[in-house]
Amino acid sequence: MDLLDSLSCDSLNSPSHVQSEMNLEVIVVGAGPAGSSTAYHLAQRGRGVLLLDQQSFPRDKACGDGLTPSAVSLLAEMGVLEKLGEAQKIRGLRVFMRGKGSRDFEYPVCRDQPDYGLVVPRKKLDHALCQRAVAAGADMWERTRVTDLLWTDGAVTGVRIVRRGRQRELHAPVVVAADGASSRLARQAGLVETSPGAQGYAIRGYYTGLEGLTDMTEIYMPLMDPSDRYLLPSYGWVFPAGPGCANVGVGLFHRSGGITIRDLFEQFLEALREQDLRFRDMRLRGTWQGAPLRFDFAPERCMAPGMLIAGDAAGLVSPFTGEGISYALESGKLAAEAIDRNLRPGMEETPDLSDYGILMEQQYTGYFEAGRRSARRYLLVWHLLDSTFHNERPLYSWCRRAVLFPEGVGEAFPSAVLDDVSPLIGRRGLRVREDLLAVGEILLDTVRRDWPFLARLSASRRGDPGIPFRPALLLLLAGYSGDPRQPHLISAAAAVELGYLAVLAHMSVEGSSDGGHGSDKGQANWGNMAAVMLGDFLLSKAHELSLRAGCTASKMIAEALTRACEGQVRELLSAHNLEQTEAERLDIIALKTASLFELPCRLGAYLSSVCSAHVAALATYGHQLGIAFQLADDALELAGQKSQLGPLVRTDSKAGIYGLPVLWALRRGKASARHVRALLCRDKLTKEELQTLSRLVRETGAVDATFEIAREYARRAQGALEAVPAGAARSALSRLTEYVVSRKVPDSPDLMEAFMQ
Amino acid sequence: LVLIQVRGIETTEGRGGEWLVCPTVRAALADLDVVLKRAIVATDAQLREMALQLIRRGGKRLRPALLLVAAQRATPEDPRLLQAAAAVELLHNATLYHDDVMDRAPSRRGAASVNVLWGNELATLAGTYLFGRACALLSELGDVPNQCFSQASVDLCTGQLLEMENAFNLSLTEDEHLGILIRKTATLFVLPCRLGSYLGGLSPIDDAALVDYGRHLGLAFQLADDALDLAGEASQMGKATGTDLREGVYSLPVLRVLCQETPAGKELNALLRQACLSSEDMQRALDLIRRSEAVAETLTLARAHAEQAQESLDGLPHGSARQSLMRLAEFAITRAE
Repeated sequence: MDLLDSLSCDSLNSPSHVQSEMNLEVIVVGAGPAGSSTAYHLAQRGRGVLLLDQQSFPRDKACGDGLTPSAVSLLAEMGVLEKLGEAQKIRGLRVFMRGKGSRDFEYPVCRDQPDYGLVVPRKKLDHALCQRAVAAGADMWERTRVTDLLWTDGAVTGVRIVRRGRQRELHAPVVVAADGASSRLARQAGLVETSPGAQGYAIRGYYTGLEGLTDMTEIYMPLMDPSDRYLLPSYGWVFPAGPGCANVGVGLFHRSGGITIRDLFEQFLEALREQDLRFRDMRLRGTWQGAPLRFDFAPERCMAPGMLIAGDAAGLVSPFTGEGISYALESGKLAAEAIDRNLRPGMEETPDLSDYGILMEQQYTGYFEAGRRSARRYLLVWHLLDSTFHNERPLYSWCRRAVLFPEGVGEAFPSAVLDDVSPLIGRRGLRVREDLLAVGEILLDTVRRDWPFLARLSASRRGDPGIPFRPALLLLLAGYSGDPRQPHLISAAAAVELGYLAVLAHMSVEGSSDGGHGSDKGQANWGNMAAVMLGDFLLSKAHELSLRAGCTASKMIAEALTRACEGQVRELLSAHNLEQTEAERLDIIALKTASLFELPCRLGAYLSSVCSAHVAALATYGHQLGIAFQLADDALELAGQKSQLGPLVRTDSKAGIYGLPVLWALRRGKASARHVRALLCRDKLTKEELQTLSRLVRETGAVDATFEIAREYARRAQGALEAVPAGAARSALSRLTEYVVSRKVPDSPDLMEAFMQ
Repeated sequence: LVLIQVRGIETTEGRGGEWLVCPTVRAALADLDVVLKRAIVATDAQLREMALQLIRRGGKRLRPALLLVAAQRATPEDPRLLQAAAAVELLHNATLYHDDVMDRAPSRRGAASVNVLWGNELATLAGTYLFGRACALLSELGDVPNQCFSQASVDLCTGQLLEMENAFNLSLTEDEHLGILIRKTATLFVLPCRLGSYLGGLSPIDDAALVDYGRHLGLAFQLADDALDLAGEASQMGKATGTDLREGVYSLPVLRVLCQETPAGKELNALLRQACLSSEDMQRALDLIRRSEAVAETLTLARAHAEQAQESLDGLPHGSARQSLMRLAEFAITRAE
């Protein structure tokens, strides 16, 4: 049979693999990163897969060539990394914001991902990828054009191809369309939202003769039109690609009146040449190449019966940085896994692949949905980035990272600052992990419907988050200590967490309207607007959610938040007050921090207990625990360690907010007290002066004294637990009293458990 | 972003008190301030001062009055009614504190705004504090009022987020725009109607009528304000609209001109697409809008909503409550005359 004969002739490196028509299970159209990843992961699982591409490899492709850490880790998993040879390593991203200078974003160090990216020319990358798929057992036909989908009873059952000038039909239970941004197959299936005329476009060239390139990729945003009056929905990039060489390009989100992509590129190059010495002598190597861009990912449009769509064809490109390779690799892998799960060997009917859509939604929702909206409303996003570009408050650093590193956000906010305390919780008898995951799901679900971007607030889905020390944990443990079957524990925990996120958002509001960075008076402060609005929104959702647990629960939350507000107000009002007594400081802590620890304990106990003494005991526990935590935090900061809950409890000598150790030193520090006082009276403290301050305070013994006071409160918390029924939950709560002061989690959970339980 | 509704109503309330023709409600309102002050339980004197600042400056308590009137048959002295009315007023005040921070507003109710007096951080906290107190007050009234309240605050916030998300969106449709106004502005008129009707024990039909009334009333107020801002004296004309243009927030008259295929429409699009709006460009943009039919059309639409608000009341019993509501709808659009 003709088909059988010709099937394997193009397959690279593996002439022995002959794919018979009988076991052809999946046809993958397009051998870019998405297609090759799909084919590789299917072949790995022993599936019969045929990879088609209209070109022959190696071939060139217009792209920025940038690989993020998550792309690098996906390539490593496929065994492709070592085949790439010498590649330019990248330490992070440098963003040039128009008129605001630049900012560096280094790739974070985290457990399950390398801390570097790469720049690899697509010619090399794509060739290595499809070779790898073939080596794993996939067949590949090059120079094969796919013209049409074949349908049977409303399901895709194959494709019509043109190969060696002849047309023919190929059949398989599943077709994967990985045919790029201008995907013919996705369009044929009616799954593309953007009309061809509205599609974005990118163009690039390789330039040599550059001097002083670093190991950072560079993004320039936004670009202006030639008249310098209109902001264009666009960005420019410079990605170092070896000594003196860079991949330089521009992307335009959608066709915008009056300017072509080539003009925009010319203008960008000219600006680089004129304004940046590194580019004075740059020369083009080869020619410019362009490619369409699509940002219209939607989970409901990434599949049809018998067909999945992956990579650029699904519109999976970041509308903020143009990045698409990691999404292509990842969606290819997800597609392969979904097919492998649902396609029984020998099955001829169309399998149900709907879990692919669900997985894609979970993985990318928020980022792309918001991106898609924002691609149209790029002005707002840029106004926000621009207004807060140099602002270090938590909301804005989170926002910047959310925009620039969708895959890394969860690591950065807020769970990265929370310790994994799982060894303290123990494994017996408590379902903390499952319940915390359920809390996370509610959080996600609650914000996603109204404001998808916020979905990125929740912790990263990648890797095991362990059991972070967070309000939900306290609430659950308090709840388990009573009747743990209480159904509202989880929604109450989610409500409390939303409330705290709201407090955090509101804390990003800046005192002065000009933001302290010289933005013109009279100009909108987009940062404050976003912080207030977001905080209000989260607060309203927290209240809505708390109603599931009843009026009393929502009243408890409201009252705790107003007490925390009062504490913050008093703290701000007492800023720079050197005469503040330690007792006054403790009062503030009792309102500001202890209320937030008391609430989850009280609420958890209230929801699961009928005994008011039990509720009161746990409320006292939480209150004392909170004071101990805050005092330890103050002490740790001066001992030179990073504070844990960050802005929620951080004291800030620079802003005139003094922790207990500083006040202690001022009153009892004898000779040093004068120095401390003199330093604190200065207008602005330099980094060195702050270090001197810390040293002076430490030398007075204030840090040790503060730790001692913290331990006293921890003991009180411990004491309060006596009124709580014994059990696994009480043991865990009890262990947390030591943790809040020492901030040490033992390494060996099993040993710990053996001794403690 | 400028909450136009608030500005308009606040400044004209002084003359607007006459709509209320229920003597019992007027009498009950006199006790409201006591309830409001009792709700601010902070031990810190300075926080109490900040939180009570706007309440002390007065205002005609339009929303609490609306709540008491909507309750109709109940005795306005019912402590539950006053408590709900206080919660609504606190929520309204909370939004004012936060709006003024966002808008960098210099003044409110005839004196320096809270953010000017104490700074943005404290003003934000004071607003949040008021919101928390409103929640706590409401949560004592049971599940249904609590749910109404929570729905309203979610609507308010999503309306504002939608507005921000659509900043600089030159092709925002009229339906989308009105949808935002319903959440952002009309919500604070619907909420007192719902709470009043629930606590007053009204029938589901009357309840639905009052909710309709509140929504149309809110729209009438907002649209009339947007039109009036562009129709006043030349020196004051377009002050709010101008600020909003700079920040990419477009009122209905602006959106109407923007979607026209006329020379004026095209010119306005070109002006507003610019990254920075000069004062000449701004003046030109305002002229284009003012000279169009859009201002008159917006006022007509405001009138239509006021009439629909009145029609919603058809099934309600006659009496001073209904008469007050009729007059309030009238007042929403006649403020300029």
